[in-house]
Amino acid sequence: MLKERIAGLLGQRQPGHSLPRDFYVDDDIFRADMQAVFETDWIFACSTVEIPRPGDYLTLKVGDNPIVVLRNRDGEIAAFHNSCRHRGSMICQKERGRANRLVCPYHQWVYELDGSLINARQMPDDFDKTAHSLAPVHVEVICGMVYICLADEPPSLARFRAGVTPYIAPHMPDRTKLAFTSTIVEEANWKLVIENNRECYHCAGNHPELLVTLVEFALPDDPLVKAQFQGLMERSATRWDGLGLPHKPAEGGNEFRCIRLPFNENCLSFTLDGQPACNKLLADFTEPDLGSVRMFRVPNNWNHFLSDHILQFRVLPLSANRTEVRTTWLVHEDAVEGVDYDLQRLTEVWLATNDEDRVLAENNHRGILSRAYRPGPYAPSEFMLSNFSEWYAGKMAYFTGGPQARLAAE
Amino acid sequence: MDMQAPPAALLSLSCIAVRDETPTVKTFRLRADSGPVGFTPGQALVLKVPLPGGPVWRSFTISGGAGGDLELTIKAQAPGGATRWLHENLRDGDSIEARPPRGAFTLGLRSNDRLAFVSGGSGATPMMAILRHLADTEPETDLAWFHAARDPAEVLFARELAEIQSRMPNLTVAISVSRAAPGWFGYRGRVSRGRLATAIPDLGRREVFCCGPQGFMQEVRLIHAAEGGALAQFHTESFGGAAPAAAPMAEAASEDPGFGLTVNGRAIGIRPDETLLQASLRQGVIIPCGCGEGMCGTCMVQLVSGQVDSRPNGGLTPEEAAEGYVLACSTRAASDVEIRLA
Ligand code: FES
Ligand code: FES
Ligand SMILES: [Fe+2]
Repeated sequence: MLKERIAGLLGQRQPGHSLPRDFYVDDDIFRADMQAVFETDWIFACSTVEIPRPGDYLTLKVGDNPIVVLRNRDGEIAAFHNSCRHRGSMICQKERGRANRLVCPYHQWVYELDGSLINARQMPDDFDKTAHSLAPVHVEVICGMVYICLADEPPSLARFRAGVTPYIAPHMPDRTKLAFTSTIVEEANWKLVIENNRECYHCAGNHPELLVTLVEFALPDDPLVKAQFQGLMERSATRWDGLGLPHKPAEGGNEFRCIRLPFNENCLSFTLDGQPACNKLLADFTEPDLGSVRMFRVPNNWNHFLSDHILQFRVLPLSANRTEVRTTWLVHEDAVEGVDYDLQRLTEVWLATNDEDRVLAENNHRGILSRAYRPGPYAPSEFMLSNFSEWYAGKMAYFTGGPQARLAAE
Repeated sequence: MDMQAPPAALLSLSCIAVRDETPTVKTFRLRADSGPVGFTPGQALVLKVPLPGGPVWRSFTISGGAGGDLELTIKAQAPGGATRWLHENLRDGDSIEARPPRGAFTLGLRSNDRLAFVSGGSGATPMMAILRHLADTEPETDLAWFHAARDPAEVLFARELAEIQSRMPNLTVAISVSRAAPGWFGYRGRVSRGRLATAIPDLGRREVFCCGPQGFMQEVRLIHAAEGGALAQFHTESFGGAAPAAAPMAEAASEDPGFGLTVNGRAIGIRPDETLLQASLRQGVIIPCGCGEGMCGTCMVQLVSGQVDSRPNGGLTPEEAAEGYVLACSTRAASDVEIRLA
């Protein structure tokens, strides 16, 4: 039933337009999204430097699935369903913490960091502990970014890994530390949160802090601005070529996007004056003017890699009309707060921008609830929304089971 | 011969000794005919070098001085140039003219207690002049010396640095050569952020005095900034496993009267054959617990005082143990003991 309904809605979808309303607001379709997208694809979870030592863990929920991501005794990243094999209690409660063993708070079953059950008191002598390990979740680490996949057979990440590594690796995300994290909840569907991120059509009217530094075709059409940007881009490209830093757009199709773009003239970082947010530069950089590598991957992650810090964004749907957005700020592992960077200066631009985007997405969601809502046309500068909705329609067509995949492609 | 006296602004110097530092570097000791010459370490002398094609003025840092004499340590460069001329012609007993010592690359610039002297090639010379002065006047100075040379034979002042280090306890020395040879135990390669930050991890917190080729100083300036250093603190001279098996608990005689046990200020007793957990539970003091085998950490308590026999079975991290935590289920008393619930 639901699959037929979704297939019908996909049939109504006009490419180059926003989606039919129910995709944004309907509870059943939300559950379908969770199954079709979040339980089949790779989900950005966190950065490896958030869990630097054995036993450090971080928890998150993918739909209804509590997950724990941890560093095991070999120093590797592993992930498990955060659900006890006794009677199912959630084991790790905190958003982040350190555990020597994973001990269920209910009856204290004890799991090793590799998921194996090593103690279950009062169970009979013939109880088989080996049959009650924690259920593992697939993990891939790419340039310090931890992706997890709940599917039995995860899709390949090879093209993504090969595509983005040359851009990100020079920033040495492994040699950073967590400076700050913020989590907000937006009263909007997760696809509206992503769509909002995929265009800067809205920037000129809404992001005064961001536009100090961000170059985007955000301002009203102006040939002079275009020519200035051309010159800035060419000068930056020449310099980055000299440093061996890639900048041209990567071939990511609808799956991911990766590009290095300059900041506005004389701007180096996401600050209110364009000057660095952290005086200690990342990696072995001595050149502060590296623009930012902007990397996006469906369904839930975008990032900026600068010369002085890294920003990572994680989107997790909570319900049809609620979405969690977590932002992390990473700086050089030896940078000292109050000496090399000031926390307020480091975070103020994106805290403000996130909040502005929250309001935009919430307004968008409320407006879509109107019975007058009809899918509307994308502007040329919104081409990444077309990519996103093509990708989403493909996922849903696959979920509904077949012929609609052709329909969606027409 | 020109009998005219030199203009008053010029010093007339006699070379009174020449010694070899390395195959390409010599030190010239000069004495002014007019008597002892004062200088501030780091300053330079501008020599009038009488090349065959006409005199040229060249600036050389004063590497040291004693009793009013001035020493210049000079590396021979390309044939036909001033340095090569000095190497080939200036000998004991010869005269040469110079402008008096000058330059602001001295300790007068200092505004920080932690210093780094970073030099490339013969740029070590002014550094050495300042270092000798510090060794005599402020031997406690916190100073990191980094020197980059082409190959091991060209490393300047190695023996003297060792000698000064014996008088300056807070002097660290690191040397990198770009063409290493067997037997070279220092850093290898040209100056880079990674190498400099390894040799001087707190470079960004130090005030840097840098001297060397133009490109070298530019690079070090960028590195210092990238490490978080302030521009005002950078000065250049512009020339020149599985869970372990449970450990068996010690057996103890049951007739032993035992020890005192205090839990959160409440005094109870403990027998040698029971754990802190057993003793507490027996006497109505509840310590939360789980596995009872030292594996889950639920019964972690803080040891306030006393001797214990503690056998955690992986349920305690080394940090927790170091902070004085024990697992009540796997710990026995070896004296009177006081604990606090965590
Ligand atoms: S539910 Fe985890 S121990 Fe009982
Ligand atoms: S109760 Fe499990 S370690 Fe003590
Ligand atoms: Fe935005």
